[in-house]
Amino acid sequence: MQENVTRAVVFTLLLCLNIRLLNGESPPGKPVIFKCSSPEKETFTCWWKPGANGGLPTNYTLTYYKEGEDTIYECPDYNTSGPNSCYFSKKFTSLWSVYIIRVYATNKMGISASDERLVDVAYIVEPNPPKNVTLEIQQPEDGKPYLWIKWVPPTLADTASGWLLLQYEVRLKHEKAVEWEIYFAGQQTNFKVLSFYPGYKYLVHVRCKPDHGLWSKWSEEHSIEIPSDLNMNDETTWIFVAILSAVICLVMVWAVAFKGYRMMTCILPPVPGPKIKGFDTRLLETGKTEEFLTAFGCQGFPPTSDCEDLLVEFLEVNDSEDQQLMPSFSKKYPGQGVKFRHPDRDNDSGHGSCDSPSLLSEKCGGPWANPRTFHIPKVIEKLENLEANITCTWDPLNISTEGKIFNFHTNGSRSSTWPLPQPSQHKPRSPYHSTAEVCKLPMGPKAALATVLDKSVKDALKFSKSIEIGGEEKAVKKMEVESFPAKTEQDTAWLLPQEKTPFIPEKTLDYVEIHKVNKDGALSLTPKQKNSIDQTEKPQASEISKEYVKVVRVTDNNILVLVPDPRAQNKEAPRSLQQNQAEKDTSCFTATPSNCRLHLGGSDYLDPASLTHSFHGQFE
Amino acid sequence: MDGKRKASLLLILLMSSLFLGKSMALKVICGDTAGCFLPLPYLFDRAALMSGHIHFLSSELFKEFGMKYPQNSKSFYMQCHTFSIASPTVKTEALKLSYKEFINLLIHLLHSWNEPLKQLIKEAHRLAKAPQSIVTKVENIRRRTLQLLEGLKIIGRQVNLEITNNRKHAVWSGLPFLRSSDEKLQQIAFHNLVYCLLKDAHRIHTYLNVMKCRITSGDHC
Repeated sequence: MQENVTRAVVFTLLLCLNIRLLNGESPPGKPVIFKCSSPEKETFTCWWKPGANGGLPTNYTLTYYKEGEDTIYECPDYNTSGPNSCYFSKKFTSLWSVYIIRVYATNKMGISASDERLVDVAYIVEPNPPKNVTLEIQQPEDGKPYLWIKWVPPTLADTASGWLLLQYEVRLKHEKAVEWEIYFAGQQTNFKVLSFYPGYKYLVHVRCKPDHGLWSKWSEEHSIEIPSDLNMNDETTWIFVAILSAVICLVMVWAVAFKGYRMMTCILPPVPGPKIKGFDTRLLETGKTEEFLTAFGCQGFPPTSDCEDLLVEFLEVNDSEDQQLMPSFSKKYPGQGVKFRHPDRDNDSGHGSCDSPSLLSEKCGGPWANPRTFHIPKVIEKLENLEANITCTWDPLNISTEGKIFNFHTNGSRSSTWPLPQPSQHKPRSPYHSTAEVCKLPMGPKAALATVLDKSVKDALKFSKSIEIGGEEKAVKKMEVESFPAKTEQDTAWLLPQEKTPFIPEKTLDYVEIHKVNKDGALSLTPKQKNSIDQTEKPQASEISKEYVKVVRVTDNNILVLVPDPRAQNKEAPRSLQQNQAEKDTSCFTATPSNCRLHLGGSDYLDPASLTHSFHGQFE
Repeated sequence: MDGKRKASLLLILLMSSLFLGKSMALKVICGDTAGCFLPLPYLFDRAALMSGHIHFLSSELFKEFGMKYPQNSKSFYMQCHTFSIASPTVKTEALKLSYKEFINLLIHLLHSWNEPLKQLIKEAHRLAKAPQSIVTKVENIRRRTLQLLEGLKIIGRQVNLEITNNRKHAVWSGLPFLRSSDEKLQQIAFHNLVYCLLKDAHRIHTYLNVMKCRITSGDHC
């Protein structure tokens, strides 16, 4: 029975509640204390967020108690800090003790209690932002201008007594910047900004924080306009820059001065000049043509210039007496490697230049004057002709009469062309070898040179041999010379060592090198040096140095046209051509059946048969 | 005694200069009979900085302990043993205290922590999975606390303080809890002790700041 009654009561109560709920009324929702903070470590405030009010007016109550105490207190002040807050004044705030706080929401329907909130005032300090922020541009005389930011601690914070010590932070940026620059200012209440751009408007904020607490909100925005004409440059900066530049300049000047050459060659490498293989261009600089032409004797020299550029010289090989030439010859080339003890002995040298009746050089000694003069008019005339048509025709069939000047076969008349090797004045043999003619032929130089092995060469060898023999050389020469024209079938090629032709003349052939041409265009022949390239012949160094001469062409009369190397005597050659045209002997070989040009290089080796020793007389 | 005083003073200065960033002009005041003294503002400045460092270490320790052994927020707010030492909890009270009272108070506080810190180091090894960093921090705190105590004693002598023994050191009775075999209980005990340490460090720091600012008027406060 009682149970039935109990059940009925409960049921009724529930029914009533449900009815009330159906009317929209309910106990309040649970409030939440969301923040408790103290601005100065002397008071604090707690704020709560009310829950649902359940449709009825709700009362909120805050209660608290301290740790170690049993007494429960109610909030002393609900109004100072605004709605739904509780303000604990100094009287009610004690540090280093924990407050346990709770909020209750009450309405007609019921009561709701929030969770307990544990508060230690020492650790909920959140100060107000600093106040009275001022911005100034300071321009000290002895330094850079700076932006000076000053502020004052928040009103409530008692920093003077040391109860609350604050640290500050500053942030600034100019109007158009995206990010703030944040600077920590420590415990001081001012800050100097040194880096800023003139002409901009800067915005500044300041905030503060106690030793162990929370940062305040940023202060109000303060702005300042930086004047555009602000001189940001520091004198010391310029001085430093100037010193640094001076040091760098000095270093560079020193480097250039001492290593200038190396640097220049590094930066601007010298343009490689035309290179003549085996030719030392430095000899050109010395201006000593003798040395220059001597150099030709060592290596082969491809004749690269056209015949037109060469001077036409009239060279006759003559077996004349060399005695007179001896001293002059030796004098002329003291420094040469070749010793000219008995230059006259070298039949193949250019001694015959002066001896030759066709010698045009005026500088030849007396004995040769006559023969020279004898040939001068002829040579002049022929030179003119030759210059007009320098290209040699190697057609053996077309032995023109152009080269009638060069009458080797008539050499007999020129008894003085070849220096006769005197037994008493034995001259070391000068090596001779034929110079191969570089013919610009379709068949190529090699092919052309293939025909080098001609009898003329052989004859030349024999000739040289005969010369060396001495004695009857003169007669032999004549003989050999005479036989030359008959051998027109074969090319007489001027051997050019540089060409590296397969030319292999007879081994017995001696070679003479055109040592040089003296000022007057005289041909100086020297025995070929042994170290020349591509010389399969037997070069026998003679002690006589002779000048090189270039073979211009070979006339169809088997006359070898020799000219001083224009390279050696670029300046001299034209002069000598003009002045000493008559002095120059040219000899020309004919034999090649094809048209070709005769290329002469400074290191041409002349066939002894073609050499005119008349040059001997030219030596000074 | 003078020699010993000087030695300990120099020791304190040496120790404090290791971590103190500020540099104060040090002027040794040497009297005729009493020996040499360091100026009070300097000493208080150093003491304040040292106490700030102790507080920083305690804060770090509390954070690390809370992360390693999370606790229910309610559970560790037990009464600290130094609660019995009467100390100002309000600014107004604090400003009323004299130097001597302050120094006395501080010395008592620091003495009260001698034993608990010693036990804390010992029992920290027994803590389950206690990281070495916690133990190191506790050792650091204890060392600096002793240094601060020494410095305060020197200051006391300079102000002619008679260290009265009428105030007894606060007795700590939390050892049984610290040694509890119950892991949870042990952790709670540890947590509570660390929290009390943090509070007292903060208190000491605040008092020394007040004293420092009172003695050095103007720039530093």
